[in-house]
Order: sequence, then C-alpha cells, then structure tokens
Amino acid sequence: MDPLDDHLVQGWTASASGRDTMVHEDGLRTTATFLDTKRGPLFVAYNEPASTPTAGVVICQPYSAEVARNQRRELALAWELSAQGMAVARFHYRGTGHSAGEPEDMTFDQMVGDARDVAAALAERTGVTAISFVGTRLGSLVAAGAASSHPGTPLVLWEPPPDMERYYKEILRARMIGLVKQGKRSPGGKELMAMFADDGFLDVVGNPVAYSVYESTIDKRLDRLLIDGGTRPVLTIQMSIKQEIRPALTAIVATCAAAGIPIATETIPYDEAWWFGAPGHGPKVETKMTATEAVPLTSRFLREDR
Amino acid sequence: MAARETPLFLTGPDGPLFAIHTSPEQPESGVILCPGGWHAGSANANRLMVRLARRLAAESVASIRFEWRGTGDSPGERNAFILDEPSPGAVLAGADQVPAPRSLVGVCFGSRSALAAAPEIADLEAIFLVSFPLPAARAKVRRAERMSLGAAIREGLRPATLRGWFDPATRRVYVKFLSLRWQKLRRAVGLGSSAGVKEAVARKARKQELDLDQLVSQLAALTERGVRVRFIFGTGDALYEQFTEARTGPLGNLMNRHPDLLDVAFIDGDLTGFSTLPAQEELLDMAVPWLSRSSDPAGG
Repeated sequence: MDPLDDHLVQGWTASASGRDTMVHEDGLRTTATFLDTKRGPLFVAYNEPASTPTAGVVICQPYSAEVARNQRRELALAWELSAQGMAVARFHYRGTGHSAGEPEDMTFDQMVGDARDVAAALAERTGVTAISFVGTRLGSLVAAGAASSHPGTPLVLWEPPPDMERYYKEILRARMIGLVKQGKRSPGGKELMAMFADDGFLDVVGNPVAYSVYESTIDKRLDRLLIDGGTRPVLTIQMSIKQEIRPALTAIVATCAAAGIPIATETIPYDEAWWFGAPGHGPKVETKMTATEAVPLTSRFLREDR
Repeated sequence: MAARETPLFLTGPDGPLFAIHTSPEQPESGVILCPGGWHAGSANANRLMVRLARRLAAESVASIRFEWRGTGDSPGERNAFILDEPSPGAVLAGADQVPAPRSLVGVCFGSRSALAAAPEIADLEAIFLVSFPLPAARAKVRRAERMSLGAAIREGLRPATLRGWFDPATRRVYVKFLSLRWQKLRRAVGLGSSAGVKEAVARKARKQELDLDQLVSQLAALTERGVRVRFIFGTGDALYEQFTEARTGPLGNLMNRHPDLLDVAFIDGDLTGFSTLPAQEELLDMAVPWLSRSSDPAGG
C-alpha cells in the first residue's frame, strides 16, 4: 500500500471542531487540530492506527526554510508508523506554519516545550505511555531535548547538525548565495552578526532566522543532550552523497557509545538542498519526494527497539 | 477582532484536500487562497498565506487556504506541478467554504488554477494573481535565432546574464537559447534539418500565441462580469519581462480599455519564491486593502 494514497471509506468525519478527520480504507485516521496550550494554539496533525496504538511518536520538524524539504517525508513516516500500529503527532512550533506566535519570539526551550506539550496531548488522546521522538536537522536537538522527559524510549535523528557553528555557517552561506542571486552583496562576518543581533532576525532567502533561536542553540551540543537524556536507543540518519559518516557525527557517536548509549548510524545517498531548491516559474516543477529510505529505516528501528 | 481557524478536509476532485478555514466573528466576504506549487503547502513560503489569512480576518474577510493534492497534508502522489495543467477543481472545493462576495488569490501555479476556476465561481469580485506565469516570451526564441555568435558571447559574459544561471526560469531560457544556437551551427555545417527546426520554432510560437489569446479571452470574460483583476510581479523577476512583452499586444489593449478593472502592480525586487522578507511584507500590504475593498464598493 502506498502510505500516501487516499482510498477513503468514510471521507472526512465530523468532530466538535468540524470535518477535521480523514479515514483511510484500512482504518488509519488523520486528524488535524489546534492544541490549546498556555502559550497559544499549536497546529497538530495526528496519524492514528485503526486499533489501540502500541506506542506514540512525536515528529519534530526542522527549522525555517528546511521545513518545506521535509514535510512530505514526515507525512510518509507518519502514515507508515500508524500502519504499524503507532500513534503519531506532527506539529508546527509556535511562530511557524499554522501555529500561533511570531518567529522572532522562538527559542530552543520554547521549541522543546512545544514538543513536550504535543507528547502529553498524544498520550492523553491515545492512552500510550511510551512516546518516542523523531527530529530533523535543528528538530533533532529539539527531539533529543524533549525525549529526556520520556526515559528509555527510542530516538531517531534525521540529518542532525553535529556542530551548531557549522549549522549556522551553512545558513549564512545560504543567505550570501541568495543575495548574490539578487545581484547584491552581503556584509562581512562581524557586521552581519551585529546586524543579526540588532534586527533580531536574519532574512535568509525569504525566511526569517530568529536571533533568539540562534542565541539559544549555538552552544547546544548533540552529544551532551543525548547523554543528559539518559540511556535510550538512538538512530542517526545522515543524508549525503558521500557515504562516509562525517567526522563530527562519528565523534558524537563515539562519545555517546562511551557513555553507554546504544547509537547506530545509517546513511542515505542524497544531498538535500535544505535552504534552496524553490523553483522559478518554469512550465513544470518537480515535487517528487526524496530520500524516502529514511521512512523504512526509521519504522524498522522504532519497531525493533520497543 | 478575534479570528477562528479551523482545520478541515475538503472534498477535492481527486480526493480529500487539507485546508484551514479562517473566519472573523462576522465575515463580510471570503477569499480562496491558492498556494504556489512545489513543497510550500498551504502556508506557502515563510507562512505567507497564514499571515495573509490572519490579516484579512482582521478586516472582516474570511478565507480558506488549502494544499494541492499530493502536497502538505493532502493525500495523493504528485511528482510535479505542470503549469499547463491547472487544478480548478481544488479551487472550487475551497470556494464553497467562504461567504460571498468572493475573491481569489493565486501564486504561480495557484494563479493559473485560480484563473481557470474563476468562470465557475459565483459572486466573484476580484482576483489577485501573484507571479502569474505568462506564455514564454516569443521574442526570446526569435532573438536566439537572430543573434550572431560574437553578440551571444558578449551577452553571455555580462554579470546580469551570469546571475541568471541561478534562476531556474532564466536558466531554462539560456538552455533553450544554447540549444537553438547548437541547432543553427549544425545546420551551418550541413548536419541539421533547417526546415524541421524552423517548423518546430514556428509550432512553438503558434502554441504560445494561442495561450496568450486564451488568457486575453479569459480576462475579457471576467471584465464583462465586473471582476477586478490585478497582476503582481517583482521587478527583479523573469516573469516581469514576459509580462512587459505580452502587454505590448492584445493584453495591453484589454488593460487599456478597462483600467478600473484590470491592472498590474509591481513590487520592488524579487518575488520568485518570495525570496526576501521586504518583498513579502510589501505584497501583504498591497493585498490586504485591495482584497478587503472587494466587499466595499466605496473603496474603503
């Protein structure tokens, strides 16, 4: 079965808030809603199995422009996991997507708080007690942070940034390339960082990168978050044409393994253009989902490590 | 005024479509927001459609933003968006959800789909077409045929031309140009079929001319209904040049006959992919009063 096909038996169904649920022919359900939290409404989509779920999974999106590159992969994962009997919650951090809030107010702690709120809502909704987390890019750090409230559950990290300085250098490079495309010049490093701090955000090819997110994540270390979160099975998936594991990720794996964390690494031969790739206006725009191998790798890991 | 946002699944022509309905307490009109193609989803780049929906709600305008089949949270498989295959059915599925009088906002593929759906939408007041992809410029094809090799090399080394390689639409024009030059070279040394190439170019030109004629007919029909239409382009976009060229013909004549209904506005810089925050803000500042005016004939 294609996890993204749409053979509906009941079409959408009504709930208190409207026609917010879609029911698949094998009983899988998708429900989109806003979760009321004390910090404002969060957009959440639940993918649930036909029978009582065996476990719960919260998917933490990447950040800013990277979201668009991953959205369909996350949906495919949610369908696949719900077909395997798990209840899945996807959400938009406050300040992003359909959720309330402004991007310049985001911080790492707030993103982790959002993930924890969603995990609590998933547990309450479905009765599952074991919640795992899957995160991509910056969402990997969020997932690792949120997972510490759920000891021992598996954690999957898609293309995690092992080094936040390098992560932000990539973003600054994307900004510079974006400016070159417009025939403009980017200010140099120090001037740019001063501008970033003063303005509170940076315009990176039309996407705001909040200084509050930068400030609250630049010192984060993935290995520290993983070790502080306690022993749990961890899978990292590197997406790159070069199949060798990057040295920075190898170092993190070694540090975590030495701390007693069972951590595995897989690679997918695909270089994702996280900050670029938005099309121009040609007659045909390709939208085929890429790096789909991440879905079965993640599904297998989460099933085996329960 | 507080707005209520409600996620829902619409009944689209080929299956369910995920959407979010935004409504003020007392909506006076409704807007169907048609996102661009690619992976942007109903929020569009940097949640542009979310921001637009919330700002419209503050002006008592309800809206619905949806996700094309095979994108965002809408089921189905989609490997590509093809401009010449718009999805008016999806737009119509959204149209039922907002109160009349109705307006349409479309971005790129969404603008083609919005225009295709317009004849079927009752109580339509206005259409706001962002980065509307016009038929490819015929002048560029003719220019490619005429340009000398020396002129082509000089043109190719200009900084503006080199920058064009970063833009997918411009890059396609370059590739087409190089292809034509290659075919011309082959003909010069007796390897190619001159008649075949000329016929292919002529066929392409005829097709594009027909597309433009269709566009003008569609717009003329809308003006007869009193529907306001606004095109929005970024001055840095390749589409701007295409529009400027198209405006020299029947499209311009139609616009001159109906300046109160049919106009074009420009935003400084690049709107392609909404690649700057100031361009996005300028677009919102332009769209909100123009669309809320749809329900206020006095133009308030």
